[in-house]
Amino acid sequence: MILLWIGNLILLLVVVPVVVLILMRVLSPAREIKIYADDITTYGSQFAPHLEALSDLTTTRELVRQVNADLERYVRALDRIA
Amino acid sequence: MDPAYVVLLIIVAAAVAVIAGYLIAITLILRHVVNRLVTILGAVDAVSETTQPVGAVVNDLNRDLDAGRKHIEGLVQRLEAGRAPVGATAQTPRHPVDGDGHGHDEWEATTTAPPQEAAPPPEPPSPLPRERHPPERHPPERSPWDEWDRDTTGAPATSEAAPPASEDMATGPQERHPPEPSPWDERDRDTDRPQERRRGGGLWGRRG
Repeated sequence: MILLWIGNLILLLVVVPVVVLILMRVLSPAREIKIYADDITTYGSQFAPHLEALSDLTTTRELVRQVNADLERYVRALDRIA
Repeated sequence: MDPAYVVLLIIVAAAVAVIAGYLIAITLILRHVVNRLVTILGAVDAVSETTQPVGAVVNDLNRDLDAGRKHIEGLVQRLEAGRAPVGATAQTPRHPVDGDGHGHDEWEATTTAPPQEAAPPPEPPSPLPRERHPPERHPPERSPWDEWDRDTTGAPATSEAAPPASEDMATGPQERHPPEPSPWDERDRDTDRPQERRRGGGLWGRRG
C-alpha cells in the first residue's frame, strides 16, 4: 500500500510534469509548421495562372522559325537582285 | 477503499488525460501539416513537369534568334558594301536640297555622309567694292594717261567716284577697248573665230 502511494506520488509529481513539458516543446513548433504549410499552399496555388503563358512558347518558336525562313528568302532575293 | 487513495487516483487520471490531450493535439497538427505538404508536393511536381520542356524551347528560340540576327547582320553588310559603288558612280550630287526626290539621294545622305559636307562654301563678297577701290590704278602704276589727266585737270585721276571714262584712261589703253562697235565685230561673227572676236569686240564682242 505504501509502495502504491509512493508510485502514484512519483507519477504525479515527476513523470506528468516532464511529459507535459516535452509535449509543450513539441506542440509549439508543430503549430508553426502548420502555419507555414498553410501559407505555402495559399501562395503555391497562385503559380498556375502564371504558367499558362508557357504554352505559348512553342507558338513563339514556330513564329521565329517562320521569320527566319522568310528572312533567308529575303536575303536570297537580294542576292539575286545584286 | 481509502478516500485519500481515491483522490490520488482521480488526480493521476486527470494528469494522464492532460497528457493524452497534448498528444492528440500534436497528432492533429502533424496530420494537417502532412496534408499540406502533400498538396505542395503535387503542385511542385506539376510545375516541374510543365516547365521541363521550356528549357529546350528557350534554347531553340535563342538559336533561331541568333541565326536571324546573323542573317540581318550579313544582309546589312552586303547592303553597305553594295551601296559603295552606287555612290561612287552616281553623278548626282549628295545635296539633299538638290535631289530630285530620288530616294537613294536621301538614303545615301542619311546613312553615309552628312549632308553638310555637300554644301558649297559661301561665295566671297562681290568684287565690286574692290573695283571701287582701285589701288592698282593709283600712282604706283604709272601710265602716260595719268600725266595727261594731270596736265588737263591739275589733279591726278585717283578719285573713287570718277566716271568710268577716267577709269578707262587710268588703266591704260591695252586693257580697255573702245565702247563703239566696229565693223570687225560683224566680220568676226561671220568667221566664228573667238580670238578675233575678242580682239575686235567691245561690249558686243566680249562674252561673259
